[in-house]
Formats: sequence, structure tokens, C-alpha cells
Amino acid sequence: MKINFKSSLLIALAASFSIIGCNKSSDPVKGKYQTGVLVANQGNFGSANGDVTYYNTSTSLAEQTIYKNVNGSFSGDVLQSITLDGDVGYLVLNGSDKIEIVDNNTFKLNNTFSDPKLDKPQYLQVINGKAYISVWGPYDSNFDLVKSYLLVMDTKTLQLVDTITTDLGVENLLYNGKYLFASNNNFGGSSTVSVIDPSIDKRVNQFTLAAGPAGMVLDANNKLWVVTTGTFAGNDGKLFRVNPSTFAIEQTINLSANPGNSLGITPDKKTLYYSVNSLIYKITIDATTASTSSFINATDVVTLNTLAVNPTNGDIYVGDALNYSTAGSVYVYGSDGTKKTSFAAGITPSQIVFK
Amino acid sequence: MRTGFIFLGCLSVCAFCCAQSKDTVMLKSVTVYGLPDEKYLAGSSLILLDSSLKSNERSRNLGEILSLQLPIYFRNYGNGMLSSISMRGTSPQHTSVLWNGVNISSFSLGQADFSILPAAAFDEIKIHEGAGSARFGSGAFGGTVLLNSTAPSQINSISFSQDAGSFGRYFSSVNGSWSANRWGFKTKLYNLTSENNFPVLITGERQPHAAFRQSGILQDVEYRWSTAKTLSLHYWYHDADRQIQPTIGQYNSVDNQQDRNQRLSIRYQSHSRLGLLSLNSGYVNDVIVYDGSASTVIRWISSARHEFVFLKTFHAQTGAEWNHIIGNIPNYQNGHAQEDRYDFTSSIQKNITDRISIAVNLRQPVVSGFNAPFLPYFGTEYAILKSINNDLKIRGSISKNYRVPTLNDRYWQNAGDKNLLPETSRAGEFGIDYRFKTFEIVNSFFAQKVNDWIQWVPEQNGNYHPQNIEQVLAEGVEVKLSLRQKINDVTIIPMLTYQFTKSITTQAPAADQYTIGKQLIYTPRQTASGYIQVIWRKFSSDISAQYNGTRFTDAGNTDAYALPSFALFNASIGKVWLSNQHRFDFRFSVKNIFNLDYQLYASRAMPGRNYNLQFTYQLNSKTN
Repeated sequence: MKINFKSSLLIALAASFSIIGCNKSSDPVKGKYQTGVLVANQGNFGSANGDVTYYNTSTSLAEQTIYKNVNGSFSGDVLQSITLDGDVGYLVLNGSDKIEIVDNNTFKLNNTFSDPKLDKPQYLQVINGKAYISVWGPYDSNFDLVKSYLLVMDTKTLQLVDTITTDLGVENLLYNGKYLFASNNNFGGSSTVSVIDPSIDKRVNQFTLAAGPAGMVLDANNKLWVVTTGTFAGNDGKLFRVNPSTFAIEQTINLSANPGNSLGITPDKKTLYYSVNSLIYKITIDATTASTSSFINATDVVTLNTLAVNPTNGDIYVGDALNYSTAGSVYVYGSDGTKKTSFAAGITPSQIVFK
Repeated sequence: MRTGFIFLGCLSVCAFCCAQSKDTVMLKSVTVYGLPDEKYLAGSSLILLDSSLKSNERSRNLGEILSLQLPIYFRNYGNGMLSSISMRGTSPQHTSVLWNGVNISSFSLGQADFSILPAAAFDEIKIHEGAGSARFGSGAFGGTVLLNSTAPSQINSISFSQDAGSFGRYFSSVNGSWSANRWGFKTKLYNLTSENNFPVLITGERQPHAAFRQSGILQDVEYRWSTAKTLSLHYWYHDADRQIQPTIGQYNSVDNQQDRNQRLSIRYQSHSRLGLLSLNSGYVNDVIVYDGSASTVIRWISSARHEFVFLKTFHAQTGAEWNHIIGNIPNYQNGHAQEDRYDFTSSIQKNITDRISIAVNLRQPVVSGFNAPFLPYFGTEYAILKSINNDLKIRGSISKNYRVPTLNDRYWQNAGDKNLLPETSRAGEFGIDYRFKTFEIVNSFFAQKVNDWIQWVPEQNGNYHPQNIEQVLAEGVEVKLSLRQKINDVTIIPMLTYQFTKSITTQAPAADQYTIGKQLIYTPRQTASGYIQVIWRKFSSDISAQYNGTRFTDAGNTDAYALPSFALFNASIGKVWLSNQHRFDFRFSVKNIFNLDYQLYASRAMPGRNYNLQFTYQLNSKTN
């Protein structure tokens, strides 16, 4: 009883603090994680300890395993990505083959979606009340993919409404207001980007770039940029600028390296960032060749696993996975390339999301 | 001189009892030269597993019963799933498992899966704790598990055993033993099935996709030409089929695995005035089918060993072994690997006085791809006190040990490296053992430094390949207390073991410096286990417990990912009815009495409280 009394006192105190917090803010506080940076940490494959790190940019404090802190256990096996849609957060778990649907301000679990077709899901994009989920699909006996696709799920009923076949190893998704672009990577085994028209849920095009299409961004001219990671140790990664209406390749830039999967863009959408090992390069959207010298040499970073740009101030965030088997870190660089700070993350940070 | 001779004689008889193919025929004029492993392992401890507990737990796998009697940690990937051993702070590849002298660890993975080693398959289970490569070969760093078939008994018998337990678990076995004239036969059949749909305590949902079946047959045949010449054959086929238990909260799992293991060991033993000659042949065929993709490793083993006495008091063994290994694994270059390994061994044992003994074991392996190290083991024991009621013994050993890289390490496509060095270790142990009547206390202090520890390291492109990059220091202390106390017609047998192990990385490459000084993953610093058996007339009961401290699951020892410590309790009660040639046994067990939620591997659920009923009937031939 005594303990209960104490803890209720604590709760009351905490509650009063949050009320004070409320009064200071003009917006009503929806939850502890309403603004800030979220890091999706994959966790150890097979250990189902994927979880989310929350970084508060105003206090510079990081909170680990926020999903577990709120819901009691880790989110699941291999947390590949987080998609925010209003107050909803979709946590895509490619090892657990499920999607945990949370309130993204509190991280309280509201629903779980799982289905036999949801086999190694990767990323999710919500368009007009429908979630498009990129799915690798099953392996054959040699652990080669046999069919990959997008699953279309009604976000209200959590029912699957469609399946759209893509090329093998579909991963990143980008919606430009008209088409949904899905890059097919398959470790360089695929070379295409699938184009889906969400008004009819059909694949309307699939254009070929080069081995391993991965990260995609839209530039200031609304052109689509795609980075291709190349073939195994082939140093043949490329950057493509694609016309998002005709799907014609307007520019091809050889990177003479195997870049990472991430492609970042500055807030003015005029400069792109990509990485090669721990080197971060920048390139303007009107460039025709890649720079031979790097913009940032991230010497602190052992394994640069993901890169993202804060859309409000242009800070560059990179996730260091170390050797993928222990808690990693996130390093923050200013838009001038100087190191600003770093904070701890979980095992294998794989995606950084700003809200 | 005369006492020495008698002592030697005792040893010889003892040797005969403990030798792997036990010959129960009395010897007449033939001198016996064979000594049991214990004598050649002076300075370290060899533990014989309690046979009544083993019999009570016959439907369980070896991992489940070892963790109740020894401070050994098993990382189980779920209930009935892959079970990997960790002894004395080492990794699962650092305990070798020998079945009738044949190494039955997977040569592709380098470790044994204890979930498919059913206790029912073995007559005798012995554990050598600590390093012993010089005697047991590659991989014996943390310890060696010795699984042996004993010779058919002179009393013919047949027995039938049936278990029924929670979550659709059924176990059946039939054992028969028959001998006549020069022949002896022994057969074991077993079958275990489990729906394994236990409630996951953390979610309240039933565990999906974890059902399994295991079946097997063992056949022992022995032929005795004379009291001095024996041919014995041991054959074992084990067939397992399981759904792979997914992590907690995964609902649409489809992975499954089948294991098919054939093992054959043939031994010819001949005593003569020159000594004891053993000629052995073995064949192992291990198939793992994972989601329809089969990996096969076949081995042919031949060995010869001669044991003799020289200068009257020196016992010696000398031998050679040849392993021909064929790996047919789709992920290897051309899907195939083949190699030969040779081992040359010598051992010498001497009792310097009736209180001091020394033992030396030497091994020189020959493996293609690298110069294998020379492996010595030196051990000694000194009995400070030696009387009917009091024994006090100090002992110590030092050794060099090695582990050959696995076939996966050597031949994996685009990753394997045939020139990878073997891991080597230097180990030392010191012990004080004390006995007062039936109370025994065994203390061991141990330290082992493993060099060239192999890790699969990610490259910048995300591909992994194995490298000799780390150094690990495992040191600790172990205490074992046991007693057998009879009060009127009640016998009480308590046993308690405790181990403290610090097993840390001492050298790592630049990118992994954060692992320096950190405890190895799934290696609890503190482990304890114990039981109390109470026997009263025809009733017996026991309570057993197992404690494991915090286990880190990541190399940087992050608290957020650690598995918390837990203590698990079990109990059982049984009765035996004896009537002439008939024997009935009945036993009721409760596992995880306190319905504890625990994990042995991250996010793999283990069952809460569960029950088991066991019934055994045995019919013996009339004794003359």
C-alpha cells in the first residue's frame, strides 16, 4: 500500500509537471514524442529487439527503447522503418512479418497487422487512407527471392485490398502526389523502379536504371532522384534524375563507388547527399559529374547505416551501426559539414525520421 | 611395492568397468592395461551424471538435464528448439561432444544441438569440465560431453516407458537387452512428439508454429571371442522434424527444419601381454534440411590405440586417428568441401606415490590449410588426507587447446577462408576437493585465454566473413557440494553447484574496441543449480532449481537488451513397485512450479508451469 501511495504521488507530480508543460506551449501536447527525431533500430536479427530511439532536439536528450518503455516489450524483429501519417505511426518489422500501429505522439500500441502475405515487409506509404507496403515476399530454397510486391491495406479496416507485383526486392517508396515510385534493389539483383498509380492501384510503368535502385528524393524542380547501389563490390553505383511524368532518364551520374542506400536532400531541395562507407558527398541538382572529394569525412562512424537530413534546419544525421551487434549511435552534422553532436541509439539504427 | 601392485590391480578392474565397451566377463590370466579417462585427466574433474535423475528425466533432452545438475548455460531458441551449450564462459563451439568416442558436433556449424540429443539414448553421460583438447581433440575448451553405450547386461530385460505431458507432449520408448554365449544385444527405440502450443506468459497467446517430433533407434551389438577379444558395434539413427518457433509476437511463421543423424562406431579390442589394442571405425552422416534446402556432412573415422605399461609403473596410451570429411552444402563454393584430418596422441599416467599422481597427454593434429599446434596437457593430484572418512585432495592442470575452424568458416561461398588459423587456448585449473563421509565439496578455479577467436565480421558492403580477430579471457570459480544422508529409512541427497565466470574480450580490432572488457553474450556471470532428492521406501521425490544471472545479448553489454536473471524450480514424485521379475515405475513432475516467464535466448518464449506423467514397466529374465 505504501509503495502504491508513493507511486501514485509520483504520478500526480509527473502529471502536474506535464500540465505546466501544457501551459507553456501554444499547441495542446498530444504526447511526449510529439516533436523531435525518431530513430528506427532494427535490433539483432532473430532476437526481436527492434525498437525506437527518441531524440529531443531542444533538450538534446535521447530516450532509448521508447516502444518498450510504453508497451512493455520490444516492437519486434528487425524494425525496418517507421512511417508517420498524422498522429499514426506504422512500425514495419521485416523479421516479425508484422506492422505495429501506434499513436506516434505517445507510442502506445493501438493495433497489430499481420498476414501470411506480409512476408518480409520493408517500407510503408499512406495515400488517401490506403497503406502501400513494400514486401520482399518468400525465398526459394537457396534464399533467393521469388516474387516481391506491394500490399495495399485499408488503414481503417486493416484489411488487404490489393496486391501489386513489382520487381524483386522492392524497398523504398516515394509518392509525388500522382505516382507512387517503388525502387527494386535486391542487393543489386534488380535495376528497376516500379510506378504505381494509386487511383487505380495498378503498376503503370517500370523503368530500368542500373543495378540496385535504393533511396529516392524529389528536388526543387519536382524531378525524381534515385541512387543505385551497384553490383557486389563493383564500384558502379549511380545517381539518376528522372522525369516523374515521362519516366525518361534526364541525367546519369557515375559515382565510381558502391554508395549506401540513403539519399538525402537539403531543405531548399537543391543539393543531394549520399554516402560511400563513412564519407558523405554532396552534389547539386544541376551537376553532371560527381565530386571526387567528400563533403564530410565521418571518422567517428564505423558503419554508416543510414543518412537523413532534418528538413527544418538542414542538419545531417547519420546512423552508425558499429558491427550490427550492439547499440549504435547517431552523429549530427551541420549543413556546413561540421560535427554538432551525437547521441546513443539502439542496435543497428536503420532509419531516421523527423517530426 | 605390493600395495602399488594392488592399487594398480584395482585401477585395472576399475578401468575395465569404466571402459567404453564394458566387458562383464571376469578376466582370468589376462592383465588389463586400460585405464579410465579419469586417470589420464588427473588434475581436472570428470563428472558422472546422476543416473536416477537421468532416468526420471528420460524424455528430456540432454540440455534440459545437464542444466539441472551442472552450472552450464544453454541458450535455447525456444522450447525444443536449437539448444547451444556454454561451459565455463566459452561459446557453444567450445564444448565438444563425443558419442562412443566419435565427435558428433556438427562439423559445418562447429557445435552440437543439445535439443536433439535425447537423454533416453545414452546409458552413461559424463562431463569433463574445462579444457581437454589434448585428450578429446578440437573444440574441447570449456568442456567435453561424453556419451557412452554400456555393454549389454547379463540379465536379459525389456522395458517400456510412456510419458504424457502438457501442451500435447508424448514420449514413448522401448529398451531391450539380451545376451547369450558370446553375443550381446541392446536395442533402444524412442519417439517424442509435442504440439508445444504453450501459452506465452508475456502475451497470453498460445505459442504458434513450434510443434516437433523426434524419433530414433540405437543398436548395440557385442561379440566376445574370448575374455580378451571383443568386437562391439554401436549404431544410432535420430530423425527430428520441427517447426521453428518464431520470436514472441510473430504470427505467420513457416520455417521448418529436419535433422537426420546417423552415427556408427565399431570397436575391436584385444588384450594381450603386450597391452590393450583398440581399433575403431566410425561413420557419421548429418543432414540438416532447413525450409527444404539440405546440407549434408559425412565423415569416415578410423583410429587405432594401444595401451600398455612400461617401466612397470607407467601407464601409457598411444594412438592415431584419421577423419575424412565430406561437406555437401549448397552455400559452399561448388556446393562441396572435402578434407582429411589426422591426429596423433600419446598419454602417460603414473602414480608417483599412493598419494601423488601425474598425467601427461600430448596431441599433434595435422589439418590441411595451416600448421596445427602441438597440444600438451599436464595434470597432477596430491592426496593430503586419505582415509575412510576423510579425503582431501589438491589438484591442478595446465593445457594448450585448439579448435579447427568449422567447414562454414573454411568453405562458405565468397566468405570462407581455408587459411583461417585455428583458435588456440592456454588453460589452467586448480582445485581443492574435500570429502567427509558422504559429504563432498569440489572447488575449482579456472582461467583460460583463447587466442585467434574467430568472428564473422561485416565488411563495408555488408557481407560477413570470418577472421581470427579476438582474444577472450574466461576465468572463474566453481563450487559443488553434495551429500547422501540416510536417516532411518529415509535417504536425502542434496546437491548444489555454483559458478562465477568472468568471460571478457581482451583484444579486438579497431572497429570493435567497445567490446574490450565486456562479458561475452549469453554468458551469465553467475550460474547455479541444485536439487534435493528424498527417497523413502519405494517412494522418491525431488525438487530441482536452476539459477542464471543477467545475460547480455549484445557485444557492448547494453542493459536495455539484457535478459534478466531468473530462478526456475521443478519438482517430481514417484513410486516404484517391484515384484519378482517385474518392475513398475510411476512419476509425476511439475516443471516451472512458479510459472515464471523467462527466456534463454532473446524473445524466444519458454513455457510456464507444466506437468508430466511417466510410467515405466520393466521385465527382467530370471537371475540364476
